[in-house]
Amino acid sequence: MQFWRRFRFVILALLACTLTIVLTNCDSSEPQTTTEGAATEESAAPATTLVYGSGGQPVNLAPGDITDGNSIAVQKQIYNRLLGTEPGTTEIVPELAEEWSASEDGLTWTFNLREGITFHDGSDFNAEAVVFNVNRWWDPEFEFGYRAEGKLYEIWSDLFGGYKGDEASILQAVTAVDDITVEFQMSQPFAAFPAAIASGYFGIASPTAIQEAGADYGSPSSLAVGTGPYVFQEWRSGDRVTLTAYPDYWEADLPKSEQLVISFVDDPAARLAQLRAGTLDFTVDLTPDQLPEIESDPNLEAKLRPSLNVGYLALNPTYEPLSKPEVRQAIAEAINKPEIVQAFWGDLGETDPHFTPPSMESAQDKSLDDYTYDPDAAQQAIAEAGYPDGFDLDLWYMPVSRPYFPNPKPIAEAFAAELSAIGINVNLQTKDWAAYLEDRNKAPGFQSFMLGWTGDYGDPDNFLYAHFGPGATQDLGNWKNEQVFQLLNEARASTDESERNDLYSQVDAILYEEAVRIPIVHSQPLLAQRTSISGWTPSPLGSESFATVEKS
Amino acid sequence: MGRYILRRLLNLIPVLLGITLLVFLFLHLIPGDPAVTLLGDRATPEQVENLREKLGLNEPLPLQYLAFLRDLLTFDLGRSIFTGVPIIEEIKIRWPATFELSVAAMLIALGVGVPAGVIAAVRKNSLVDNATMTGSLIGVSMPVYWLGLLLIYLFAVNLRWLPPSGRLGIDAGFSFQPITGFYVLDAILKGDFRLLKDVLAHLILPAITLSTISLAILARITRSAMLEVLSQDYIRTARAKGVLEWRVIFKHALKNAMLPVITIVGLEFGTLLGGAILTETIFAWPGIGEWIYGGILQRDYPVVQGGIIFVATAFVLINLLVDISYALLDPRIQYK
Repeated sequence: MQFWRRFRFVILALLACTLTIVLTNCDSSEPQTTTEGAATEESAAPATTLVYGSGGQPVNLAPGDITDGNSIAVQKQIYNRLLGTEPGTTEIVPELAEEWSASEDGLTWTFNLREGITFHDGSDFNAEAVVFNVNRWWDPEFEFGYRAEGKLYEIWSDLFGGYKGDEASILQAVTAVDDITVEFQMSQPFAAFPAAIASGYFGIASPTAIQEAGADYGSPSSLAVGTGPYVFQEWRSGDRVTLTAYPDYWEADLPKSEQLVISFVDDPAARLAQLRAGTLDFTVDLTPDQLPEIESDPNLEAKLRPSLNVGYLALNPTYEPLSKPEVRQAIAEAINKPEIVQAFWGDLGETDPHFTPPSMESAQDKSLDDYTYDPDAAQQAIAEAGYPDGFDLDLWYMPVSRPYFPNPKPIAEAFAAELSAIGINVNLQTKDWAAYLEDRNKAPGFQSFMLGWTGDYGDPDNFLYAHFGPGATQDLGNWKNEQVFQLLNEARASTDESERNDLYSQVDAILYEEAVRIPIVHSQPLLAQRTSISGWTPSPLGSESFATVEKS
Repeated sequence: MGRYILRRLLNLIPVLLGITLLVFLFLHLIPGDPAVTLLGDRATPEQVENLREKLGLNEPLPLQYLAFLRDLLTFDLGRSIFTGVPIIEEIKIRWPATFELSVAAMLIALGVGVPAGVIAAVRKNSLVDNATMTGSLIGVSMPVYWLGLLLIYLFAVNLRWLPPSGRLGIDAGFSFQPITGFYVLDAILKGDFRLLKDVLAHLILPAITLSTISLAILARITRSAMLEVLSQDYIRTARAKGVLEWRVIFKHALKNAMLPVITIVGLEFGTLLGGAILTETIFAWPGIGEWIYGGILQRDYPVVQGGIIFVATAFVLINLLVDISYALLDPRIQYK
């Protein structure tokens, strides 16, 4: 006991040290990151390192198996897709495919691939590689899809109706005709196919790398190999992804920077602070109230991402008073949209009569003038429709913030105030987000509610079919307009761009009259960069390649 | 002694069971179907059903709990719904970051809080005492989020003395492969002083932010414990014998005033591990807290579950260590 008393601290300290070493050794036996040869001791940072502030870490770097923006932002640097978009727009341009065309009946899409491209691991990019990737997403039986290990590729089914073997699957077959030609067979014409396959979900990965890495491909401890401007080096969980320029990149003189670090900073206030301190060069997902701070800093420049979303107020026609179009139109007239948008979004929001965002203006009816704010006329219209004393209306607002409705409750209160001015007695309602989404689809549904949509890809089909097509109006008590159905299906079948635009314009005009989902706002996400950065053109699609971005 | 420890360890079992039950119930009883929440605003009923099946949500609740316990016994905390990475792997990577930050915060809290408490007690009711106690009141009540941002703006954005957030600078990150995951230790092991400087610079602001509440509490506890001891007869005797005042304070009084302080250190250290959620989020510190925060935002149930269980278990174990250490500090305490 004497011994114990005298040496107790020494013994305890030794125990603590041993414990620490034992515990930490279990850690380091797991490779935390993979960096084959990337990090040699003492190697200094290359001269041009770009640091991008991401709102969080990617879920996964395997294409087709993610839907979150943080993953897509990183994947856009590592992978190319078959088709790309003109910077800053939704216009489709060649990327890995140089040309693409549809057969006369719209059932076969043919893509001619660029020649001489190699993946970062040195393997060849060709038609077989494309088919391999598509099979991974589409074919539940495909050996390298690793579905048994939990890979789902849900986005494929969301966009293309189902997987191989499903009755509803739009895709019927994908084949490599020769080394540089890929053919997609469809069950029905789907004119938005190029836009859908160009979306950020579907980067083309190296089949060799996937086969080597197995189900772990794209996780922090594994690797990610594409043909894109930047090569994956390291993913330090919770901290950063490090990429280096691909010397053999197929686009001349790109990428402009030698190194790209994607730093994960969850909190928007912390991201802006980092940008101001200079430890980030450019960042995304800032909140509208940060705009004044960005503008007050001479080293920063605010940027707006062109809108690809819509926040709307849905009026459910199964609720008796709302079954009459005159009443719905009167409500549209009673809400002062420009004032509300100015108050809640400032410069970040736009309002117009169209459900599709402004980046799709060629598919909109430009002759439409939005309902003018006129409470008196609205009140009269409601009286004439048989409600001289107005009526009660439940208005549901979302319990969560979304880019299209950053603070739903005060916005709902503004709606309620304007509607009560014309005699409609509004009861504001909300519930937990999951229940909100679920219950709005249960008959008879909510009488009226706020919701929105952010596009998956840059085609009007993704907005209009998804909200007014067959099966898409459960939350409006299965409201349907035969003419809209017909126009939407025709537009899907047509491969003629101007014809499609014309069809969508007609839909636009009908929806304006019907006023079942009144578009309130198209919001523009707020981004910021340091003034030392140039060459960054935010895409409406949510993320873009940083190959052209450089630091002076 | 050995028997006491064994008994305490056995007592841990119901406590840990209680923790697992609470965590499990919290996540399953909040309104809304987790499957719907996960799939978001564009899910079809069919997808929801598939996911429910996959997550085992269709089983009766008690069965789900038993399955959860069975997996827990084999350290299988499941996988993150979003990333598919096993929870236990993520904890292994992240806990050193949280632990390092908590230790740094505790060192600051001890290094500043205890001396402040001693001074306040010795100079009772003086200006120093009042200032210390007012300061500690502010420390306890200051929102961590606000303080963190304030420090970032002052020291990183305006003065540019320290990095605003993260655990490692961009440049230092290129050449650094962690050995133990404790970056300070790693830098020392590698003998790389540039790296050590970078790591410490990143550690200072979050550690200060995290330490404030504990620091304030420690200062208050130390003060009251010292006041009590200083009023005892043996202190008067020591002073009467002509023992130097600093010896009276540090040798005779402080040592005996330490017992309640140690208790609080244990409790606070556990709190630090869990309370690091906000601090880690503001400072983009890749630890357990930041991970739980992300899990909450994404409704990644296994992540939240695993994270809370880890923090709660750490809390319980640390307090056990504290209890055991009483005997070592104060020979009068005997465990039977």
